[in-house]
Amino acid sequence: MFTLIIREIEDNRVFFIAAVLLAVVFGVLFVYEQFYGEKYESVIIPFGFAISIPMAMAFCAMGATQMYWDKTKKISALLATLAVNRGQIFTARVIAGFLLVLIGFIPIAGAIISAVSKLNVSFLPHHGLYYEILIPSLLLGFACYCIGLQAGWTSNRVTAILGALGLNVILIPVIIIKGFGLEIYAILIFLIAACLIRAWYKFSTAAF
Amino acid sequence: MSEYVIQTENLVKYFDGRRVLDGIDLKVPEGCIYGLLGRNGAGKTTIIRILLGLEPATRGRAVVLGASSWQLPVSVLGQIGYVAEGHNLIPNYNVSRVADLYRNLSANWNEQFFRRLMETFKLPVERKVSQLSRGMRAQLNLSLAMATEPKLLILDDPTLGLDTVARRQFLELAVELISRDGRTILFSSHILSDVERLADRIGILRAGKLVVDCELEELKKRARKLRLIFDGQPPRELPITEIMAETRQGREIILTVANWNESKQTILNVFKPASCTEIPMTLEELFIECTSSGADAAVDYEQGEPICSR
Repeated sequence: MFTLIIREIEDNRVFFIAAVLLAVVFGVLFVYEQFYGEKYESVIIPFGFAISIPMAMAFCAMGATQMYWDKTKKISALLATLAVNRGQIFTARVIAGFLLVLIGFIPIAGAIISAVSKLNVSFLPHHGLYYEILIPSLLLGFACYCIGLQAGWTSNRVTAILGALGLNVILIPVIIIKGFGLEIYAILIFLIAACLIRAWYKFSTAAF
Repeated sequence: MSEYVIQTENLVKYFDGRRVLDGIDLKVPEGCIYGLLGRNGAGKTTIIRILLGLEPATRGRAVVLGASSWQLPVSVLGQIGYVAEGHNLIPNYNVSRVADLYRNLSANWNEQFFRRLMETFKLPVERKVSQLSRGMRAQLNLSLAMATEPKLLILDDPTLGLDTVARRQFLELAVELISRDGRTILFSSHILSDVERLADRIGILRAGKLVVDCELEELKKRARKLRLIFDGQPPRELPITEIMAETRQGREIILTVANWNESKQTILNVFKPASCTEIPMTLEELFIECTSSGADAAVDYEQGEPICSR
């Protein structure tokens, strides 16, 4: 399993390098703000929110790329003839995707929450900030990844891109309109489950 | 476990409404080198892909090393080596990365043996798979498949597209490897001389049906090609069953008959041919006879009996 996860990360290293770079930038801002008393709210908050949509798209692109390259380069057709089954290939892929979401997301979310909490804005329930923003944001990133994963299993690049973009274009406004909150948990969890089940069904029944 | 490493029962596969496999009953005993022959589109690759779990069968059952082929457990997959038609390794990986993948994902990787093969073939480890010649890819694929120490080795037209020298090298290695450990090998090929050299049992596919499934020597023994010359006009019809091919010219009939036996000889004697000579057949001739349209008559499709079976 470890080999399969490493293979996924190496094959999609562009996404991981970009995520790590972003994480480092936000991590540094976060550390400076927390421990050196610097005031970067005016940078972190707009930049953090501005980068979140391209990041969601990047997570989606990662999922779509994993599946699209697998199908066109017949990667699983090779792996499945070794001592590995389809379940392990798929699980390793999803774990790699989740790792990307964590690497890309946690430092940014941490920096934004830290910055927002310092603003002392009354309409934000401070004690529930983590649960109401951090977790739904993490789920949103993973949901975008899962959308890409299920849309990417096609040999038609246009279908993969349009399918993934289409679903993201629906999902992201839902979050913007509905706002962060506990209600969004159910929507995102349902969407993640549906995408993963659909992607697994396509992958497990496909002829490699 | 059954005495058969591979066993299929009434295997049927449809592609877009077209029947590609039509009730295949294939049995490959342990330690056997089985050559699967057939023309393009006869269903050779489809059978292999079903056996490896890469393709689901529409109907029927395929069992490999005691497990259902569609859900082969990891323990069974680890005992199968596979060399794909066209040597489909991941094209953007370099040789060492593909080798690492095999090394880490194989149940019984033999590093020493792999290094020996790499040295024999002088394969450039840093070069990308896509930059290797077809011959090099074939050598790499065989080296990787062999280094996994498989109990069952499946080769899908491994010499396709190789030049004579590369083919010879490949076959020499295959012969050496086959003589090790008595492993079971299933291989498909278009090159009949390769099959004749390696296989001890053959199956011939024709339009999705297994029309021959027996030992090579048995096939040669049981299929007869006869030149019959009659004193006068030859009989309009010979009441012999399983005629695979028949050509007539004047007083001469050239007849190819499957499952030759004494009763067929007796029937033939009734017509008192002036001479009856047996024409020796190569595997190539047998293959052509078995896959030609005349072979229809030799196959009892109702009974599903092949021209030559165990």
